[in-house]
Formats: sequence, C-alpha cells, structure tokens
Amino acid sequence: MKQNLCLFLLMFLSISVFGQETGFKGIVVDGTSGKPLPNVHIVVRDQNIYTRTDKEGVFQVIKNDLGDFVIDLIHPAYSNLITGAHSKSGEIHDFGILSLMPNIDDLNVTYTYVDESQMNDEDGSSQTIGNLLSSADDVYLKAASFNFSAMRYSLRGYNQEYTSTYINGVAFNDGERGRFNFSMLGGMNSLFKNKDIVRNTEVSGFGYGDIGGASNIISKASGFAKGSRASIAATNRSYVLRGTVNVASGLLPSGWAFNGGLIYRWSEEGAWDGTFYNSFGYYLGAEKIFNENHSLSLITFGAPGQRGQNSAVTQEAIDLHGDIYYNPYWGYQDGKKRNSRVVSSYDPTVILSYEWTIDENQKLKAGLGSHYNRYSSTALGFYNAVDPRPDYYRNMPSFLGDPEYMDDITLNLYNNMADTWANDPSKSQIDWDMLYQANHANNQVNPNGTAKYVVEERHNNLFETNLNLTYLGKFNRLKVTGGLEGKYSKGMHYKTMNDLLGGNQWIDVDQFSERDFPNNDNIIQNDINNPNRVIKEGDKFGYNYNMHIKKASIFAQNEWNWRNLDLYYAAKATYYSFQREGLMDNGRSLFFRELFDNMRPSTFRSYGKGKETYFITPSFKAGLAYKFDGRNRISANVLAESRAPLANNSYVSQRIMDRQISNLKAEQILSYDVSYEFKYRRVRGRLTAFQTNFKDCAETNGYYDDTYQTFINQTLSGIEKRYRGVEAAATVRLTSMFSLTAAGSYGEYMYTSNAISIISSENGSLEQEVGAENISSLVDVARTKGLYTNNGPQLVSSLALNFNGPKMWFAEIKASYFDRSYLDFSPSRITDSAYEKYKNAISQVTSGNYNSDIPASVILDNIVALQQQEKLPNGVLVDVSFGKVIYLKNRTQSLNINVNANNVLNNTKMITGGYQQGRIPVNSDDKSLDINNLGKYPNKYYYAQGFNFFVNVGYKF
Amino acid sequence: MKSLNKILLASVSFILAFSSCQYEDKFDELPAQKYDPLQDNIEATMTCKEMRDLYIGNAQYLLTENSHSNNYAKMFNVSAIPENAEAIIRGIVVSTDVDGNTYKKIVIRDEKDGSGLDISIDASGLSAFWPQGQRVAINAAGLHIGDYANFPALGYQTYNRKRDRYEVGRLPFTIAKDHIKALGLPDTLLSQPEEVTIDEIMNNKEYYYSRLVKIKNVQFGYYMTSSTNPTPNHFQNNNIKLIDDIAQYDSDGDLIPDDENDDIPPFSIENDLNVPVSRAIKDANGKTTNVTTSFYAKFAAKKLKRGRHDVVAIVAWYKDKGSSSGNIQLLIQKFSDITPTTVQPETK
Repeated sequence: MKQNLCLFLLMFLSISVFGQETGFKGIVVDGTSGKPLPNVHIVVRDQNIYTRTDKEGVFQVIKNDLGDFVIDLIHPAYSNLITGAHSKSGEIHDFGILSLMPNIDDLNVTYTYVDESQMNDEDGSSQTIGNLLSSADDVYLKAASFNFSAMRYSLRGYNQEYTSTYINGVAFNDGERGRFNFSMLGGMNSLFKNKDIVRNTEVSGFGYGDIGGASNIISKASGFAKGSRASIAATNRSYVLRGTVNVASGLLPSGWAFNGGLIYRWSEEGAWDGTFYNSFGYYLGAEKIFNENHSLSLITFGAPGQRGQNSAVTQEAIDLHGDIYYNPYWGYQDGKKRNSRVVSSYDPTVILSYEWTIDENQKLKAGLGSHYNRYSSTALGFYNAVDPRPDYYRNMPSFLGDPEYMDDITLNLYNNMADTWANDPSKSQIDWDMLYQANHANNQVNPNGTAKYVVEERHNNLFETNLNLTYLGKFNRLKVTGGLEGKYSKGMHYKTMNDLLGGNQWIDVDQFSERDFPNNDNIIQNDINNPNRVIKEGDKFGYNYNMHIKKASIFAQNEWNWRNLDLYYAAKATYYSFQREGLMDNGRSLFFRELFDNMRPSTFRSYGKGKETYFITPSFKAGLAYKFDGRNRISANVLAESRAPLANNSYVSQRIMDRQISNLKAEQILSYDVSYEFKYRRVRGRLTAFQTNFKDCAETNGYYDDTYQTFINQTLSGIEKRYRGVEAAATVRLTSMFSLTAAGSYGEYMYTSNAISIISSENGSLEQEVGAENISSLVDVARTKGLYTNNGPQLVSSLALNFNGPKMWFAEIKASYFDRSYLDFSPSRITDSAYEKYKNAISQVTSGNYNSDIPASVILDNIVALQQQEKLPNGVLVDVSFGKVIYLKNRTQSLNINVNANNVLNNTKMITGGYQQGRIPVNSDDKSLDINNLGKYPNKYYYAQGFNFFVNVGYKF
Repeated sequence: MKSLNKILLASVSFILAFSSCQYEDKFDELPAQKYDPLQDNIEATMTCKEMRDLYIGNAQYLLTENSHSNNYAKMFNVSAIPENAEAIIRGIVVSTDVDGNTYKKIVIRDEKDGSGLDISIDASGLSAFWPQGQRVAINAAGLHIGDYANFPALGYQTYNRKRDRYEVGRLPFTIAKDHIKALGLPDTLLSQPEEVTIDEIMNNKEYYYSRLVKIKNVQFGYYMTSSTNPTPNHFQNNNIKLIDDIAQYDSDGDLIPDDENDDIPPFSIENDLNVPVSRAIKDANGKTTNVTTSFYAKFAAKKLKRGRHDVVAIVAWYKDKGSSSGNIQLLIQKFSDITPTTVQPETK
C-alpha cells in the first residue's frame, strides 16, 4: 500500500514537473485596423526579460517565478501599452488580444537656431528596448527634451560632445569637434524618433555611454508601419512651411521592408529679420530579415539646404531697432533683402547595419556608416575699406559715450546718430548698393588691385567613416556587452570667393599683416608658394588645411541582476590621434619659424603634414541599484576617465600653422550621481543628485587686442570645472484623462580654478615686439575661478497639465521657469594684465586724479561691469498645445491635427546666449583704461523668440 | 498606384521648389552708377574757400572759442554751420588713405576755384567710397567747421580732455554718409596735382591749404639738433642735412646699399609723442619745407630717397600753440607719388 502510494505520488509529481509550464502569452494587433502587429517589443519590467511578436503578432514567454509582473509593449509607430498580471505556477497567463493605438505625430519641433552649433531639429520622444532601467518614460528626460529647449537648456550643463549619439548602432559624434550634427537628420522627425536613450552614465545596451548620456536612433525599414503619411505644417519660426511625405511597405512576407521619406522646409523670411530657409530632405531605407537570426538594414539620407543667419546683437541695437528681431547680417540690394551670412549644408549619410541573433541569449550587431558633411558659411570681407558692419561699434551712438554725461553739442550728435540709425536701413543694415559702387570705383582707380568688398565662403567639410561592432550576451543573471569602434575623419577647411560684388579680383594677401609689416612681402602672403595670387569667384584662398583624425575604442560591460539588486561595471580604452595637413604655406608661419629659429621647424609648419599627436585614454564606470520592490528603486553611478582633447581645441591657430597648445593634456573627468525612482499606478518620478569634476581642460579664444593693436589667439589651459546639481520630476495621473507633470533641475556649473592664459598674435607682431627670448611674458593668469559655464539655464522648472480625452482629443498647457543663465565671458577681460589696468583706473578715480564728467561712483560701477560675467534675466514661458485625430474611411485612414502655441505670453526678455566681447576700452596713447567710454564694447545677446506656433495636419493613408 | 503618383508628384514639387529657390541665383551684380551730368542737379552754393571764410572765426557762428589762457587752445576754434544753411560745396577728392599717411579724413578740391578743404571722418578705409578722383557734393548744413591747430577742417565738435580744448573732431561715418554724396565713378584725371614751388607755397600758405601739389626737383633731407649731436630730430630745425650728402661708402671704400645704411633715416619712426615725423625737402632754388609722415603709413619704414625727385603731396599746416611758429606739412598720399626727376638741375 505504502509503495503504491509512493509510486502514485512520484507519478503525480512527475506530471506536475514535466507537464505544467509557467509564463504568459498574447496577440498584439493594430488598434485601428485589427491587423496583427509583428516586431512589437515586449519588455518585462525589472526582470531582464524581453521578446518580440512574430509575424502573426503572437508572443509567448515561458518563465517561472514571475510573480507580480508588468510588461511594456513598444513599437515605434504606436503608443506604448503597459499591462500586467500575477503569474501562477503551472499556468500560462493569456493576455488575449492587446491593441496598440497608432502614434500621434510628435510635433514638438524644438526651437531651431540658425547658428550651426545649436541646430537641433529633433523631437525628444524616447523609448527603450530591452533596457533594464526602463528609462523609456523617464519623466525628467521627457520634460528636458520638450519644455526647456527654447532656452537652449543642456542636460546637466555639459557641452554637446559629452553626449553620444548613434544611428542604428553606429557612433556619429564627429571626430573633430566631438559633436553630433543634428541638422543631418533634415528635420525628418518621424523617421528618427525611435530611440534608445541612456540616462547619463547608466548602463547602455549599444555602446559604452557618456556622462551626458547616450542615444541610439533606431531607423530601420521594418520598424515603420505599412502605409503612407503626408503632412503639411505652418509655423512662424526659422521656416514658415513644412511638407513631408513618408511611405513604408511594412515587413513583407518576403522578409523585405522598404521605406522612404521626403521633407521640404521653406521661408522667404524667418522670425529674425533678413533670415530665410530653404531645405529639402530625403530618406531611403531597405531591410532584409533573412530569418529570426539575421537581418541587414541599409539606410541613406541627406538634407541639402540653405539658410540665412542672424547674429548676437547689443542691447543698444535692439533698443534702437525697437524689437529683439534685429539682425545686422542683411541689407537691401536693389530693393530685395540680401543676407551676408548664408549657411549651405548637406551631409549625405549611408548606414549599413547587420544584426545576428546568435541564439536566444546572444546577439552581435555590426554597423558601418559613412557621411560627407559639406558645410559652408558666407561672410563679408573687406580690404582697405570702411568696416561694412552696420552694428560696428563706431557706427553706434554709444561710441560717443554715455548720453547722461554729455555736453549739449555731443548729445545733439548722439541723438542724430540714434535717429538716423534707427530709421534708415542703409545705416542699420548692410548697404549693398554702396559696397558694389565702391568696387566699381576701385576698378577705375586700381583695376589690378584687390576689390574693396567681397563675400567669402568659409568651408568646414568633414568626411567620416565609422565602424561599430557590439556584442550582447545574457548568461543567467549576467548580461555581457562589449564593443569595438573605429572612426576615420578628414576635416577639410578652406575659403572660397563667393561673390566679388562687382570687383575685378581679390589678391590673396593678409591686410592686417600688411598693416603691421608693410615692407615684408613674405609675411603678408597667405600662400608663399603662390604669392599675390589673383582670386576670382570660386577660387580657394586665405587658408586651406585638412585635419586627419583616427579614433578607435574597445569596451566591455558586465551587468548583474538579482531580485533586489542590479550591479554593473564597465571599462573602455580609446585611441585618438590627429594630424594637421596644410595645403598652403602661410607667410606668418614662415615669420614665426624665422623668429624662433631654435625651435623644431614642425612647431610652426604651415605646409604639409604636421605633428601627429595621439592619446590613449581609459574610462571606468560602475553602478549599483537597489530595488525595494517593483515600484521603488535607488541607484548610484560613478565614472572616472581620461579624455583626449579634441583636434578642434588643440591648436593655437590651425588655419595658418601646425602650432599646438603648449602642454596639451587629456582631460580628467570624475562623475557620480545618486537617484531615487518610484513608479506607482498613478504617480511616478525621480530625484537625482549629481556631480562631475573636470580637470586639465583647455579652451581657445580669438579677439582684437587694443593694447597690442593686433588680432590675438588666446589659449587657456589647466582649467578645472565642476558641474553639480539636483534633478527632480514627477507625473501624477489625476484622472483617466488628466495628468500633471512637474520637473526641474537646480545646477551649479562653474569653473573651480584659475587658468593659464597664453596669448599669441596671429601675425607674429607681438612675438617680434617682445622677442623670442621673452616669450614667457605672454603667459598670464586668467581668473576663471568662480565663473559659470554658459550652456543654458542652470535652474529650470516646469509644470504641465496634460489632457488625453475621448475621441482622440489631447491638449496640454505648461509653464516653465528659467534662471541662473550666464553669459559667455571673455578670458581677455579677466587676466592679471587686465586687472592691472582696472586697478590703476580704480586707484586714479578713488584718489580724485582723473579727468571726466562722469561721477566717480558710476565709473567705478562701469569698471566692475567690464570684468564681470553677466547673469541673464530669469523668466517664465507658457506653452499651449492641442490636437485631435480623426479617423476616416472605416479607420483605414486618419487625419491628425496638431496645434502648438509657444511662449503665448510673448515674453521677449529671455536671453538664450551670446558673449562678452574680447576688446577692452583703452586710451590710444598710453593704453590705460578709457574711463570715459567703458561701455564701448558691450555684451552681445541672442534672444528667445516671442510668441511662436506650429500647426500641423497629417494624413495617414 | 494612385498613392504612388501622389508621392511622386510631391517629390517632384519639393525638388523643384528647392532648386528654384537657390539663394545665389536671386542677386544679380549691380551695375556701376556712372556720372551723368544731365542727372546731376546738385548745385554748389559756395566754394570751399567761401565756406572757410564765412564760418571760421566768425562770431555769428562761433560755437566754441577756446580760452586764450590755454596756450594750446588758441589755435583751435569751432563754428556751427546752421542746419538750415545753404552750405553745399562740390569738389574732387584729392586724398587717399590707402597708403596710410592720410588717416580718417578726406580732402577735396573745389570744382569751381580749386580751393581745398579737409573733412574729418571717424573711419578708416574712406577711400573705398571716396577715392582720389571721386566727384562729391557735400551738404555741410548742421556740421561744424573750424581751425584745428590753426588749419581748417570740417567735422563735428569734440572735447579733447587731455588738452582741455574743444576741437573740430571727426564726424561719425553714419552721419558723414548722409552729408557726402558720391557722384558717379572716380576719374584720376580730375585729381591731378598743380605744379608749384616751395616758395609759392610759403608765400601764400592759406591759398594752398588742402591742395594737391607737385613740387619738382627736390632733394630729401633731415634735421640735426646741433652739429655736436647728429641724431636726427623729428622737428624742423634750420640745420638740415641732405640725404645725398650722407657718406655712402664703408671704411673699405665699398658702396653701402641705402637699405643697409643706418645713417639714412626712414620717412617716419615711432616716437613717444606719437606724432608724425617731418623730413626736409629742398628744391633747386634752395628753398626748404617738410614732408610729414605718420608712423602708420605703409612707407614709413622706407628710407628717404637719394637724388632728385618730384613729390606730389597735399598741403597742410600745423600750429597747435600760439608760441609756435607753425609748420607747413606736405602729406604724401602714395609712395608712388615720389618719382625721380627727369630733368637734372644745372646747379646743386
């Protein structure tokens, strides 16, 4: 009996063990058409489990011990779905049919500045796939992308080169400046909206990551739902009209998928006077999914375009003009507005990416990307002629001094100047007619000489090829990621003659050297091998050099996941080298070589390949996260690394010679942060404290020095900076339709040490004056300690009320507050030499030994203002958006209407950036501080646009 | 298929729109504005000399007369030309700032009587808009005119804090643009110098003020402070040493090239007073006067020339204090204006 019972029990247990599975399954369909959705990613939160739906939209996961679990269903063309269940042992929970609703086009086009370094036309929606931290819906990151972009906010204040951007797993931060060229995406937001985003130094599934975070834009043909979409938008920003067309085949039964897109953006005149926009973009994608293990994707895209720029301007110019949209870069030519600063850009890109799912636990990804960025910007040039800039300081009434302390006669002149400048476009804008006439006149009196005025075109092209290999493996609780990266970049920099403005020719010599060395025919040559070369339109002149950059890195990362604890650690080694190749032998470099004849010739080499400099730098990072339960989590991350200086920041004057910054060093970075996150049904959010320390940084600066009366290149080295602050965000679902989101950050991003300043004259006149043996006299201290960085507001906060209503209505109103923005300071104003001038002037004034009608107290205030870093105004911006999706033809087509109204209060007092001028007002005779005209070189500003809107109508068919 | 057609249409439209809007295609070269006497309806209401005579020192228009107790100030006064005055002059520009000896001013020769006038303007590179040979009309109403160091100039009053005096200062360029109109293209045939002798200039200085003159057959020289101190002096002194008299052979009897001969001074040198440097010229009649060159002129470092030359220059006068005797200053406009004399003198 007992034996039979034991046998029965054994059999029962056997059946239980071998016949009962635990897990979950379901089918995902398009919520509008009911069709099955393949390639929908299913992520089990906090459990390192993910899968994809098959061609029939079916998914299944077999797993014991799931317990209470939550799953995210994610597809780039659809809104996320979150659901969950309680797993019972021996049961496969059936979710049944889960419907995903098509995405509403995200139309929060971030504000576009026509300055190339700020060109950012991407939207900020973020999704993660397989990221165990699920920062897909990080409340703070979303707010930072959408709410703060109008004020050019930078996450944690870092420069853009500290954030890594990938496209289909290929790294696209350029080798020369370390930045990602957002304008290469051509504004085709919907084709590049799907991203893996890694928050700051946290663990990444596609690369090592960076202190500013990383994102991998995933743009493959299979990721786009079948169908066509067209949209038309009207706006009043840098462009006024936008049209897009996107087509996708979806994943075909053959395993192929194709997609394509076109975009056109245009304005005759943008928000700023005299600006314009004309840009066309294309995209083609093809993907072959051979089977469940292999897929190959090829995409190519590009966006040739032209746009007219606007400039930072003084407050005086804005006040005289009457609004913040003053732009000195344009003028009337024959009754038409002509902009002198036209940017032409085209960055065609091709990316081939291959994915091999080795088995259910291992993946290998390879990507090869190549692009050729053609970028140029025009500018007025002039020779032995009146400065054509309408806002040149001598053309402004403030040049006469402070009107409050003027005699009546001078005040009368001041008012005349103000009046004529404000009301006559031939004064406040470029007088093109007069420039042409000057050249025609010159053709008469000096037919073989240089034209007086020209439009030159400065080219900064970059050809780059990138290779990335990434391995991902899961072994029980261990996830291994490793990768190799290789990059070759060739920067090509030169000027061409864009328009001779009626002149006969331009002679390729440097006029400033001509002024300082009138009897030296060599030094004035831009190319000694072609002296006094006659330049016609289209010819290269001025300077011509290439920068060859090679970069390679290898990294490995381990992640451990336990029930309550996650741990990761990673290391990377990077090789980075750069070498200048001069294609012209500049006369000034010859002068330097002769002056410093005991130095190695290559130090001042101009023509040919210069010194190849390389760095091998390590990086280490680690992080720990403790999960109290499925809803509360605390984490900490640390990163320590050495980072090579970028090629662009390593030379004193790379346009003319190979001379590098002395004592060039790798930057040292130490970064750490601590976060608390919570996710409940109705409320979720995050609180983070962070700090990053930089050491051994270098910066370069160029300006005209009135004391030495020549153009100066100033390098700062030994810079130390500290970025620290807190980030907080929470979103509360008030009802099924309303949610409230609050987000903010308080930061303190500043220089924590003084820097070593070394000045060098562009044409050697200063070095000649002091003598090669006294070159150390050009070394100074720049009092940078305590100054702030200038990467946007260091205090940001927003409150947004969001409505998602029935019948596909949605709306949002939000208010954002910005503070702690600081203007870019000029190092020339804070050297010990400059302070010597201030000290002497203060002493003179306080002792009463000065000659001025301006009261002493005012002069003293002005001296302080001269050396101070300006804090920019704080303020509030309010934005409203609403829209609706209308389904047509039995839900097979849809129309979505989206209206964004930004800065509805038309706050035109917000300054987004600008700079302090490098010149210091001095007396012409003894170079002491000119206390009677301390406001001669005021700060220049970029303002945030007032009320602006974006109305988009999209049609899906 | 219909969808594909629509997409193709959109593509073609985008491409066409983009291509047709290329920026450089939108702006044609502007033609030169040539001088057309039939279109020229600006009439001069006075000559340069009449303007000088009417306003300078005239109590009716005097804006500021500096205190006579200030030795420097006596030579500086400013008159205001009324805003409703009929004060239009016409002339040909005879100056050029290309070589840097003329700085922040233009000098015109009156179309009617050849009298000259300096116009002070606060900008470099003025010859781009108003080169030598450029016909201009100037409406001086609302501007200021006066003696600057005892020499007439048109500009705007400014206060020289260092010297404690009101002066005719430089017009801001934006204001000058409103008052000076260029008529057509320049013609250097219109700005040819008049031949004069040093004697003629010295005997009729005011007549020659701001005129472009040619003095033929001169030798360059410089000034000695005393026979025991042969260092060249900046300023005029009766003791002149001619360049031709400077020994040009070294101790071995070899010819020293001028460029290597340290005894030959350059046209100008940097000095603590930051003033232009005067050098002598002596004509065939033994009469002397000065050429005055700024240190910032392109030819400042060039050595004074040996031999006999013809010199073209603008006549200026400088007397900044009552106790000074004042100097004629001939301002060479272009280094190429110094040309070897073709006719050799019979006697030295």
